[in-house]
Amino acid sequence: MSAIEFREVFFRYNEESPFVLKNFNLTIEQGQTVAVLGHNGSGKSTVSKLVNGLLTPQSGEILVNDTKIRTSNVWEIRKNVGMVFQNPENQFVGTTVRDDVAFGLENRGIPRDEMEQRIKQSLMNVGMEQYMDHEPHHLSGGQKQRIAIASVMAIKPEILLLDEATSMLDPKGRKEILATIQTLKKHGKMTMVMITHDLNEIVLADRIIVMNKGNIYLDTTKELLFTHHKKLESIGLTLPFTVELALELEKYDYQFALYPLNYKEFNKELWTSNLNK
Amino acid sequence: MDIQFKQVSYTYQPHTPFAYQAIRNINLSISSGEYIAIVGHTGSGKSTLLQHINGLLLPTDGEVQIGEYILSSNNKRQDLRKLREKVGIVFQYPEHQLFEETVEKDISFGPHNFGIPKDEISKRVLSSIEKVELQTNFLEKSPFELSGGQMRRVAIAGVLAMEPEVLILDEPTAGLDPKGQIDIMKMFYQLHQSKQMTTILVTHQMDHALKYADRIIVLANGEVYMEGNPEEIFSKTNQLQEVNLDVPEILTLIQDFNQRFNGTIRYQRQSIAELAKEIVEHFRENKRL
Amino acid sequence: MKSFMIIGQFVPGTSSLHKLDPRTKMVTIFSFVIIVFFANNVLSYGWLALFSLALILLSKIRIPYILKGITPVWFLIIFTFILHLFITREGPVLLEISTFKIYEGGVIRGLTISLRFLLLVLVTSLLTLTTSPMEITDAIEELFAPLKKIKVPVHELALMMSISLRFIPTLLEETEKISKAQASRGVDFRTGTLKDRMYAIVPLLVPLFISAFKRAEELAMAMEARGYNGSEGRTKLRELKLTNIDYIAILLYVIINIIFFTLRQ
Repeated sequence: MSAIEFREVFFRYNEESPFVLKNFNLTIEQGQTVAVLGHNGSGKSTVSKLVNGLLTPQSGEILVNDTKIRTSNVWEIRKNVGMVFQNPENQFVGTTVRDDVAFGLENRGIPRDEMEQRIKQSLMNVGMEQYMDHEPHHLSGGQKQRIAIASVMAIKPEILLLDEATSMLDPKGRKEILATIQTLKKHGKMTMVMITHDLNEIVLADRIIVMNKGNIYLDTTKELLFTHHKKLESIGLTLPFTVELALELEKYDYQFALYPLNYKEFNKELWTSNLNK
Repeated sequence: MDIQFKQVSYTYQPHTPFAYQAIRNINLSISSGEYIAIVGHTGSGKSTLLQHINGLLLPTDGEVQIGEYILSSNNKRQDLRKLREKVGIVFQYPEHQLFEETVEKDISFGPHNFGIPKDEISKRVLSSIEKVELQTNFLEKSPFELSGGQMRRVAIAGVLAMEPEVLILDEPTAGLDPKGQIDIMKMFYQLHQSKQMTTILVTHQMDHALKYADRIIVLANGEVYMEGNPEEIFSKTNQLQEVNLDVPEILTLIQDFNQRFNGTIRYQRQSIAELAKEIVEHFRENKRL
Repeated sequence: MKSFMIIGQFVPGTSSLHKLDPRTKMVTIFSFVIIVFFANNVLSYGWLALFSLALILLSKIRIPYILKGITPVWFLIIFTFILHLFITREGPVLLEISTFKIYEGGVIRGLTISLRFLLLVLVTSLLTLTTSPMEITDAIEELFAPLKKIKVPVHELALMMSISLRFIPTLLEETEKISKAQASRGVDFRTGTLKDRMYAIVPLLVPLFISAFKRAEELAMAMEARGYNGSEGRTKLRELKLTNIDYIAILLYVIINIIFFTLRQ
């Protein structure tokens, strides 16, 4: 069973504007962690909003757990698809952390006793249980995003969509979210889709999809992603510094079996490369 | 314009249960034409500090001297406009301050407020849109039909049109994609070099501080924690870790390389190509040994 | 830039006033607002003043903080007093300054009305000082629940209120940020003619509206994604419950009122 499936999807925001997605096809298997990258305007954010039924395609079908999204079942689908947005401020509904996590549960008519339990559990999962009664303006961006994740997880969705969830955070906040994603990945069999530019998030993914002009440009893995460096640069994506350095060294006949994503990998690769020389 | 902080402290909402001292006993001096990076994590007092430089905040204690201006708590209300004309601030997410119908009007807004003559303003509008690398046909457009990155450039042009002597950049790359970040940092560096502008970059991106700043000031808990040139600052790994700051990856890589391969490479703002060359040379020499 | 105003500001605490159910506080305080107008002699005023003082002490909020916090209202109170001093012409003349005559009736009227005003401000600000905005919203939703029968969207209104409350600090911060950004582009919000100042507000208001709309749009989307679909089938986490302390408070309040009505003439 596939978690998410796009079949020949066309989408545009209104009739005058060009198509954001053009004959888009994509299948994501259950339990996969997928990173979707691409520059602004490549259509990557549209993809996540379509999965959640927040947007409806002009033609084509979108299936979640093999069920086609229709207006009649969209609320059912949303129970299974949790979504964390970019701006930490604009998705915090409650006046306190507790209320915010409760919001989604209240919407689903969860009884009070169970609510209390789930709030506690999901706040513990993101390490925010001691902030239960805090108001949003006393929290950092990273903390607010952790609450957003907790709020979504309290619903126990099977699919989690992170739509540039770290792009507005400071380095500390980013690290917090990455650690949270990592624990979620370890514990659950959840399907995760991360829309991102952040290399650290990409590293967590089993599968990488690069989007350009409303279509899939590359469908690869993190190990192989940067073997496509020319293609990536041609659509205006940047390479990590370690990959650039490796590419420079290739000019001197050094060979890299894998393009290194951090300094440790780099020096390790350099070691073997140097031995083989 | 030289900038000097003498024993500066600032408290928000003093004498209330909500009183909060954001910076304390800050002593600093920044000379004309320097490129300074102020780093520290959120809540370290960076934003409070920079707002003292153009009189948006007046110190609760101590005094700030900017050129001939002296700001302190017992300041009689002086005309701060002259000061603000000389000290431009690019705030975090500056695109939020756009409001005019056209890009041209928005860029003219600052100079207009400072009483710059009309023909001079149109000259400045043209030169500043060029500086932010946008085409002149943008001038007629509404700022709200532009993309996020373009809006940010328009907002920056609005600050540059004031032709400030000191340019303060508060997290200018926040929320941009990696390519946008690189482009905008390069643009500011070119401006700094061509105009001899004093540039004060407030950032939590250590690689930007390393790459561009002459001097780094590290703030932690409202105090100056460390101060020095980038190489000095980033060699103090433990001290940085204590205040939750990272060392840029290029330095960690060089350090790790030197340990592993017995190398002697030093970071001196070399390009990636130059660094690759040094690595190759290191291995050549060691083979000869 | 921030002015010192405590009206509407919540000071978290654990005093017995903080612990009361918000409905208890709202009902008693609104009835107090009416009761104040029944006071008609020194004893009854004194009794109410004593009651207010007791409430302040119970809240454990520092008195100077409260008094200083209502500074803008002091001006109004003094103004009311002076106004009555000059317009009321009853009783014997106490003082005569050229054409102005101050009557005993004026002094008494001025004093009582200012005192009434002061008591009202003190007690109502105690409500907001000891009750979080969220609790107030909950209490309003509960107290007005019967109106649902005549199709008043009580739940939606309460949700709107709580969301507005949640965004007040965000928008204040934003206002400050934008006004600082514009100030550093040479806008002067504080000097100049009235017309100048009106114009100065445009560069502040336009960005604020744009950002508020953007926030509203994003928030609506986030709420939809989290399954918000109106009040139907919704449960509530917060439950208001009257406890012993509420019953004691209500009883005391009734006794205080009985004494009050025996004291007045």
